[in-house]
Amino acid sequence: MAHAWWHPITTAIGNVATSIGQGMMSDAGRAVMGAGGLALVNKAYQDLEDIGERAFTGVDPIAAAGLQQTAFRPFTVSVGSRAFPGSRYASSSIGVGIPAPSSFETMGREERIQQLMAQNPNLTREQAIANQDFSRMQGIDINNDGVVTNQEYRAAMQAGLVGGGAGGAGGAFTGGMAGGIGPNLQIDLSEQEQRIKQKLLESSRQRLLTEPPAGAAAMRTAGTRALARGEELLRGISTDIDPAAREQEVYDRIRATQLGEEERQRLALEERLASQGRLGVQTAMFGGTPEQLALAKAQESAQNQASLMAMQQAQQERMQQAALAEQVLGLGSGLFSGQLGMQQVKQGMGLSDLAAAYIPQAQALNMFQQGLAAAELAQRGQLAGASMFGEAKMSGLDALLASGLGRANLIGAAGTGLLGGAIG
Amino acid sequence: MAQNLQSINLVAPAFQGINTEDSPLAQDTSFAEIADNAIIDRQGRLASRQGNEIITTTKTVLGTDYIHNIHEFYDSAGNEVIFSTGNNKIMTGTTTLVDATPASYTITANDWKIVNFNDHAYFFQRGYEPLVYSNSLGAVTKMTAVSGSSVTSNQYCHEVIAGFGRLWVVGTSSNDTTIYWSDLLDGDDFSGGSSGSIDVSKAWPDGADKVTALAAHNGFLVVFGEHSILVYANPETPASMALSDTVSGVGCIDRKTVQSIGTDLLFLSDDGLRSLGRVIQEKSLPVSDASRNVKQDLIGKLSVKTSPATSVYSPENYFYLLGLPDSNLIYCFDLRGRLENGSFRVTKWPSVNFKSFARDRNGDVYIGTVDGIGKYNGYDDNTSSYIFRYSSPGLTFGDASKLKLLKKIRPTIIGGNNSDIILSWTYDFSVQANTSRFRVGTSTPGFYGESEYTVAEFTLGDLISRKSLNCTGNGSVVSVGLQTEVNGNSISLQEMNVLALIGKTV
Repeated sequence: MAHAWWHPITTAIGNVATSIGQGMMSDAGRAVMGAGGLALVNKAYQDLEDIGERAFTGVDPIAAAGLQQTAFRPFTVSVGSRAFPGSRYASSSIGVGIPAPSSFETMGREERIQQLMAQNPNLTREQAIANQDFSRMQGIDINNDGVVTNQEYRAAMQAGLVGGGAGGAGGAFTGGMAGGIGPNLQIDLSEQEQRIKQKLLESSRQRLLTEPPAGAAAMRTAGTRALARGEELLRGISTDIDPAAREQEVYDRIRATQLGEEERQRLALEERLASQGRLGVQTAMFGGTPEQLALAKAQESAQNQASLMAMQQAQQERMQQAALAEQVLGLGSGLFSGQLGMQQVKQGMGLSDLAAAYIPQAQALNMFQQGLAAAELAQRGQLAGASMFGEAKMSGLDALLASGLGRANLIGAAGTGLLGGAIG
Repeated sequence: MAQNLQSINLVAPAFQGINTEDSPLAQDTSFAEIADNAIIDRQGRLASRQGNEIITTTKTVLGTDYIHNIHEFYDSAGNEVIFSTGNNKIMTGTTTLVDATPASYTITANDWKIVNFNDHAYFFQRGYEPLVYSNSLGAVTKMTAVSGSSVTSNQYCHEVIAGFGRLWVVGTSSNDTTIYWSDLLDGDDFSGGSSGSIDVSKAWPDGADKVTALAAHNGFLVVFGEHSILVYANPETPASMALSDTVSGVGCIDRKTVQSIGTDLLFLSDDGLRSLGRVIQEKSLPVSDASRNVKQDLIGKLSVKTSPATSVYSPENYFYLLGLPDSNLIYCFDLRGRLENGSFRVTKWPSVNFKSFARDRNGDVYIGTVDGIGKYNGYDDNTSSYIFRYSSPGLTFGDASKLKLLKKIRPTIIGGNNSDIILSWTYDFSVQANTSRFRVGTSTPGFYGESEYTVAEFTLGDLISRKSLNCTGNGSVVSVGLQTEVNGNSISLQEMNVLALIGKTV
């Protein structure tokens, strides 16, 4: 059990007092004893102060060593032929903590400026410099290396620091040749993968951003014409065709086929009535003769039937025209749908190309996840070693401090005894 | 050297009636040149007609006019009313004429035709609203005032008949070709039910005519034009009735002369009395000339006719009387049988004022005159005598080229009762006749059941007179005749025996 640091002092003061007491018996002895006690107490006090200083300064190397031992060790995960030597294809790789080689982000400020100017011929040097300076002023140079990389710019965008690229250096996005997820996370695709990706991205761009698919314009034109024709037909049902007039026209045509026979029947009846001397018959029951009533009823029935047929025919014609209009409108709508379908197919193909272009990157990231576990194993051992080192160092330091405290306590107790003897 | 008397015995002389159409020389002695106020009696003898026994005692309503029309109304309940028209009034009664003209109904003509139909009497005259009488109505009533009636001016017709369950009317002031028929059994409804009309203007065989009379005969509706006849079959259903036959050139000129005599339909045509026969099996209607023997004479009378004719058929007397008021002449057609030429035996009743006739259900023949209504009864015309006259056709005694010297005429006369008989004979169609007068005996026959225990005891029968009269003169053609004044007693000529000497050839 460790004693308090002031215990030697009090002990020495006690010893001095004792010496003084005893010296009373001898004043000189008591004076010597008092002086000696005070000296010991003072010595113990000084020792304790030295011990603190040594503990304070003794921790720094340990902390420095721990910081060094637990510092991040950059590593790289390689997939593809690099993992399988002899493959005709180069592999892609993803590195953590070290810049990817030949990466745009590794360029210095001047190189970056030159690159920007090369990628955008319309961009002057002053504009490129202003671009970089503006980006730095926006605080998006995360690692403060004087260069705003795409990753930094994209991160700034995600953080809301910058807008959608107005005047930012992000405009110099190189097309994802080496898309990174952080300043120290670098994905390096192989050349073949980059070419494939480039080709797929170009194909996607072509399909998404360039002219509509072949035949879509013709379909659109045809659809427009069909819709116009359908609309015209629909409008014609209510405007061009007078139902009553059409019914009358059909009725007249039907009646025209009936009138001849009706006239023959009427004449035959007239002759028959004339031969019977009954032409002038008028009756309350039948109007004329029963035969005339029967003929009139038959003719009126035929007229009614013709009228009904005319109405049905006119209605059927209108329905046919409506159906035709509907069919034409459906054709137009179908053409438009077909055009949209073609565009959707093309967009789908573009999106497929786009998705396919990032498959190597996604695969690299996937492999990175796998490699990250392995990296964690190494880092875990590293951290355990550093911890053990620190603990070992701290235990030595503790022992040193304990011995110092013991010496100080011993000296202090002696001084306290002397001082007590002197007093007492 | 004395020659034998040649006898021509005229048995039942003139029993074939008057014949003014054939040559007198070629005529049968059974014809007569003149037979005035005569009929053919039940024994086939030429006899005096009966007279007009006036039964009207009060005729104030009639004034100075005569009875234009007589009609007996009777219904199924046995009610009977005698209607007569005259002096622009409609009257009822026979002994006392009572004005039955509806109030506020002005009449200016008297040519009514009245028919009975379904317990009603209907009065029609051109231009006048029809009138109706029934026992329930109790008075002659305007048709429009009858409940349920429906009549317009189209039915203000001149001709009307009741037949086939309806009234049939025709002849307005403006239309003589449209026949209207009433609803079934409803004579005053001409617009509802099964009523109707037919315009026959297109049916005339000659192209045009106008309806003068209608008749229901033999199941046909006979439509008389002035010179055409239409026969419609199936008139029971008027809407379907059809023309069955037509007759061209013969028509009816007076609606009141149409009389159905059972087998025939008699009517006055402009060429005399015609009959439309009835042949049930063939369903054809042969037309015959009923007045063939007096045709020219009758046509001559018709040519001056201005007033409506009148007629009556009396099956009890076997005659059809055709009256021509303008000429004060009655033709009496005996309907017992037809002669060889299809005509009826005919006699004439000249100088009579019989203006209208009617026969009631009892068989009485009513006569309309200025004296009111009388009956065909007795042997005087309202206590006035009339002349019975007979004249034979020309008699040649077998040879018209020789002279005949009449020696004696011995008529056999039935009845007469103290009448003066004037025998006459003429030679060679001379208008100057030789006459000889004698008086038949007095004998008022009393018949059993008629005179017994009354005025006289019944006798043995009619008085028969056979008087032989000497004659003078000569000629090649001889006509003999007889006339007497009929005044209360009948007289008939049974036989006339003519004795003559045949002389030299002239």
